[in-house]
Amino acid sequence: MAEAGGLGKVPPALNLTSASSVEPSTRGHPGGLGVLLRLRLRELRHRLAGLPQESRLKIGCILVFVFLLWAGLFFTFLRSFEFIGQFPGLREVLLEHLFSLLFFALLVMLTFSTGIISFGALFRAPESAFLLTQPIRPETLFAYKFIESLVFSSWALLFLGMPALLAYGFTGEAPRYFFPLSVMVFVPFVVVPAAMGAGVTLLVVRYVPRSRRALLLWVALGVGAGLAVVLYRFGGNLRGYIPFSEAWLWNVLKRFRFVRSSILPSYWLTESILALGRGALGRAAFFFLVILSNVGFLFLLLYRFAGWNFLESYSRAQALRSRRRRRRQPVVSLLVRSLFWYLDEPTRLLVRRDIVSFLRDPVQWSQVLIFFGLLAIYFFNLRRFYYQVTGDFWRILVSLLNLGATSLTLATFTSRFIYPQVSLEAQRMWVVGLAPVSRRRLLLAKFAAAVVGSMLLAGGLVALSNWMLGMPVRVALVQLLVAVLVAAGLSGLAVGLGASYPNLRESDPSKIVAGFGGTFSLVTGLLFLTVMLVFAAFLTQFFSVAGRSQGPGWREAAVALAVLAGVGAVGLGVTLLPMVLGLRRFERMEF
Amino acid sequence: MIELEGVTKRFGRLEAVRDLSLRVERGELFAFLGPNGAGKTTTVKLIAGLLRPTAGVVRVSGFDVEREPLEVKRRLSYVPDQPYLYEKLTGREFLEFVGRLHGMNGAALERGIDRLLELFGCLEYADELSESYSHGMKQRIVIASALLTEPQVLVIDEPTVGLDPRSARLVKDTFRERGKQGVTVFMCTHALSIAEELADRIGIVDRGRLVACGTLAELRARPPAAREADGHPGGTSPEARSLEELYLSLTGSDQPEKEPGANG
Repeated sequence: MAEAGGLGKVPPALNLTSASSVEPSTRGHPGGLGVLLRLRLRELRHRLAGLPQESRLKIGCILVFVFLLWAGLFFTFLRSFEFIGQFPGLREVLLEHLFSLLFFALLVMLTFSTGIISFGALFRAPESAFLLTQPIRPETLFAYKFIESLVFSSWALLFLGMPALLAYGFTGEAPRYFFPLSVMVFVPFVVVPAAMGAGVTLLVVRYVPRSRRALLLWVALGVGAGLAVVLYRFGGNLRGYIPFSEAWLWNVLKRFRFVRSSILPSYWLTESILALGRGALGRAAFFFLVILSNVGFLFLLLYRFAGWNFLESYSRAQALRSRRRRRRQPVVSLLVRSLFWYLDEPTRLLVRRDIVSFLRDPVQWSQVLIFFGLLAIYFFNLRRFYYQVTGDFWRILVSLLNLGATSLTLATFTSRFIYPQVSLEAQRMWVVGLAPVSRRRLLLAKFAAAVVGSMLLAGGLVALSNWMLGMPVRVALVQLLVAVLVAAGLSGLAVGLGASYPNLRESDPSKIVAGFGGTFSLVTGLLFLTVMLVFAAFLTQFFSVAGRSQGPGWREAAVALAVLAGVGAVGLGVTLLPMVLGLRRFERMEF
Repeated sequence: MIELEGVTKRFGRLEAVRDLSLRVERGELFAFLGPNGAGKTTTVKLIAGLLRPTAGVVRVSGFDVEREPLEVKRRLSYVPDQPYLYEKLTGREFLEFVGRLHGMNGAALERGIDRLLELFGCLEYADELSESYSHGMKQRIVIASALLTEPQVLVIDEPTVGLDPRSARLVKDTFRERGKQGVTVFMCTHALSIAEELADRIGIVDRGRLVACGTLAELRARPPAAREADGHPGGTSPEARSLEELYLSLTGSDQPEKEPGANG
């Protein structure tokens, strides 16, 4: 017996067996998917067992946020379906198109997200490297990782898709069995896009050229081709149609006719759900079985393909890391000197490092480019919808929706990419922490980089939207002010809360975001946005009629002034408060 | 037994391993040395089946790693330089998991786990979640898991990194003992003292090429001319006395390029 906590000696007799080593064939059959899934269950049990040690306030906050989000979605869908129900002639057609469009969007998003997640899970995760050295069949490992990616990418979708189904069931007076059966149809549906995403990932890694540049070129070509199709389909103008008239609506629906194509899995789901709602069980069952058979077929195909190719693909994927020599980025230096002239040199150095790191991480810049790029393309094409020649109501509404879309996208990005930065920095404190740079300066540099980038993106897009809609300059300026304050507030929240709730153990940014601080940052950001958008709606309405002869009176002007002050106060408060708290916490933090 | 026949591994334009032929016999303790980025980790990953050779064949216990990976993995244990453990599993649960993957179960598995935990002094913390372990504690558990499955071939990258002297001594004794029982041990290391102390034979790799291979005595006996013929300048003394001197004379002084995915 070893001494307490000490080590034993290695007498020859201590071997586990008397033979030199066991011939594996004398053992039982090597473990398969069951052993791997049991491992995950055991991990889950340990996680759940650790929950009571977490702060009750933290768990309570998460539960309240989750409930509020879910209830908010449910009531939004409920009101929307009730609104649609007011047009008896249009109801069915609109619902068919809306559900088809919603499920098509989910199909595309899930395909992409599972593709990206399964790449990380299959080819980059240290667990894959470990399991590949164990006696597990490659197809078993693939199935295990596929299930993991599927759950990771689609649980939120199931959670957020349920309010839509429930709301439809309530407004459509669906039979009782609609509620459990619609969930039963929805669950296998998510496997279809997940399998397509994972399949594309396997094919890309196996057959697409190895260099990162070539891979990016392929991705860019794919995205470009997709955008070209979208522009071709929806680019034609709607001249001659009064926006939001019935004729305009039919024309818009005609453009989205492709989502009603019977070869799309989203169409099968729509038909099954709508049939369930109408009580047509036979038709619902038919489309459910179509989904189920496709799930089986796709999974079998992938399973076989993984069996033949996974090891080769894994080996190829290890060579994908870029070995390109990097230039010194003089343009970035110039940009940093111009945009951050008011900062001192050490802080500017930190800002420059963060910007260069961002530009060298395709995961970050490509997502920013795709989402803000899509918004920019849409804003550039606003005149094709002829909103600018319609009445004030629709123009104001569209401009506010655009402000909302820009702000929401920004909120997602600040919480996804900026929030984890402080945690990652804190893990490397031996680099900067030991340098003669104060922690305050470090945090301010992160904030400066975030706020300038966010302001440029949000401000630019909002200005573009107002210009294309032909909004008056005073309205454009008010919305620009709101966008800039939103950018500052979201950056303050992401950096400040990132410093208040750092995760010093986790190196994966997506897992840092998934923690309490990340969720708290996202939810506070959304609440902040809601308040700012309500203010923006009032101010937009006020300033769009302010210049007219029968414009608002002095009372409205006084209220507008108060709201303007409120916008400034909320914006600055949300920017400064988390930063001050975060700074205090960060300066006292031990590593 | 490990056999590499004319193995080459390219990453794009970089040739990480060049035409490597090597045979490590049953029960032999083989130390694989080389500078950073020389191709050591790539070679180890080729043997473990994590990478596939661009050319050539790798065999473990007579099985082709590329064609019969499952047979190889049932006979081989691999310990990487960065130990991987599941944060939300205890050390004991991790060992149990590895054992089950290899088809072990029941009382024999439990006995094996207990013995190894005791041997490596892990009993005190074996039932705590591994997220609380230090690097050395993790390394001990991972080495225990590699031995648990009674491999015929043990491939280990930097065997003593993160271990305290007592643990390092135990690991070395264990390897020696396993070697006597017929287990082939392939160690990839920067620690020349381990190679000198443990290895039956030593291979030195530089820029993907095996520049020297043999027992310590054979390497020392190599005439300077042989080293110059390999394209490396000879040592200052006609007969390099220490392994360090020999190593420095055999490996180039230029800074090599890093292998993709390699840590050492």
